[in-house]
Amino acid sequence: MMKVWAYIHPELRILCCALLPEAVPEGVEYVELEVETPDDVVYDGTQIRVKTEEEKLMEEKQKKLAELKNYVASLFRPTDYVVIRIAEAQAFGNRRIAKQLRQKYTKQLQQRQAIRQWNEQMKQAIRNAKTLEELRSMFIDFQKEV
Amino acid sequence: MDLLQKDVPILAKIYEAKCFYDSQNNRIALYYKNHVTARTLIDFYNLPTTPPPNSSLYVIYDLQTGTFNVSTDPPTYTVSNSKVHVTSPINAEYDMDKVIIYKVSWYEIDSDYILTQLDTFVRKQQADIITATHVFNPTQPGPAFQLGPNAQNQLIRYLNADKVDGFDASQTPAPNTIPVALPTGKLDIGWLPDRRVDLTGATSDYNLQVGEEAIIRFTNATSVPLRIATQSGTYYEMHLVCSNAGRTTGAVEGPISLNPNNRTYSNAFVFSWISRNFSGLYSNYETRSAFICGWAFSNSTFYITNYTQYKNLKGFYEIYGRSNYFPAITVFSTDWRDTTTPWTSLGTITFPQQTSGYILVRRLV
Repeated sequence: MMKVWAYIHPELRILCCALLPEAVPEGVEYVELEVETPDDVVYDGTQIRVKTEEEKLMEEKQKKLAELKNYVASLFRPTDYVVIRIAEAQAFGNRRIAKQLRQKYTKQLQQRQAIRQWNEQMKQAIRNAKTLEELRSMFIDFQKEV
Repeated sequence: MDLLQKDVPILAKIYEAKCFYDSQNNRIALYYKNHVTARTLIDFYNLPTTPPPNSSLYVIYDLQTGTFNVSTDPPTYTVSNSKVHVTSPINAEYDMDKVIIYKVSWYEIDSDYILTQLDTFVRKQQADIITATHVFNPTQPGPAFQLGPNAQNQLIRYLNADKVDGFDASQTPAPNTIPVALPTGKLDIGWLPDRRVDLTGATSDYNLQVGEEAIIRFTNATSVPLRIATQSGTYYEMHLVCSNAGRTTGAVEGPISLNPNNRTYSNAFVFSWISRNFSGLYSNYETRSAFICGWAFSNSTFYITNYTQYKNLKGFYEIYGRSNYFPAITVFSTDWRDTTTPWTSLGTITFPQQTSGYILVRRLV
């Protein structure tokens, strides 16, 4: 835990958290708070306060979902060319080639399907998390071999 | 020659005098040595006319005023009560030890001898080579000798000056010593000042100079004020080194931030990063309330640009302490998008958990 002195910056009109008491501009009203990190402080339009556990949980879920999305995209990227080639064949009405490609890249397509399933499971797990600890203990790491 | 006062015992003990006629220069030369001060002195008297041959000259020399009285007539004088009373050819009275009365016989005139004698003295107006080691010991404390205006700023050949303004010179660094270049033409590195200042536990901002570096050590800290004053136009290199044990568990996910001016500015920063960890390659572009310079446990190297109109951190860091990390590498850049707020204090580093290690800050501009 650390102490912060939160105030609305008189010129910038944004929330600031001073980490040292002398960092508060003279004559400015401030709120002294004990927080884990300055990111825990919020100005809700009427008052400066510490985020509720629910707010922190929601924020953390958003971060985790964004992290998952980023990660899954990186997992798909190496086999995107497979999907593109099949889609191209279908777009040009060449069903025979499309079928051949599906057969040729069966393994990659199965892996992509597994990633997608894992992604759905992870998203659900993140959404269902009840506490920050539960959320923070989740590792976004797909290691399933197909 | 004859010292006419030789009948005065006390005087003979004080002075040893010799007087010669120098026919080449038509002058009287008087050498006398004071046995008390061990000083030998010479004085001259230019005769107005050449003395007649085969005649003697009589010299009365006033030691106090350095004045001669030279005559072909023998002086008349009496000695009493430590005084010498001269009645002819002048009328004067001297302390017994302040006068030399001398008879110079014509047959003693020997210019070669005089020249030989002159070689034993330092002449004031003729260049000589001095082979003896002389001691300059003024009768009272003070400079041993002085240089005249013509000698000022003149190089003296072969003079291996021992000290300059009282200091010795050396190639080896030492206190109160003048540095001398090594055979390489460079100074020993030890001559250079220690340009590191330890700001651990400092309570006010230090004005770090260009080329100077600060070290700040911290133990189990979540917040470390750097205590370094800054201003627009400066540029820094910074190393954040965590000493927590390397591992794949135990670290809290969260940013390590540099909070300029020791405060956050809500959503005023944009953090761009590309990272590679165990699982793969990631990147993002996100809004923050401070500069981000690390994650979880990190070893971070970055550069700080401080212009009021453009404030940036850029660098790279290694992350450890989580399952996907140890190692992981992130390349990053953070801009403080405010273009009017001055950055006057480098700020405070905040950690997502208790962290130990040190921070090095070197000012480059």
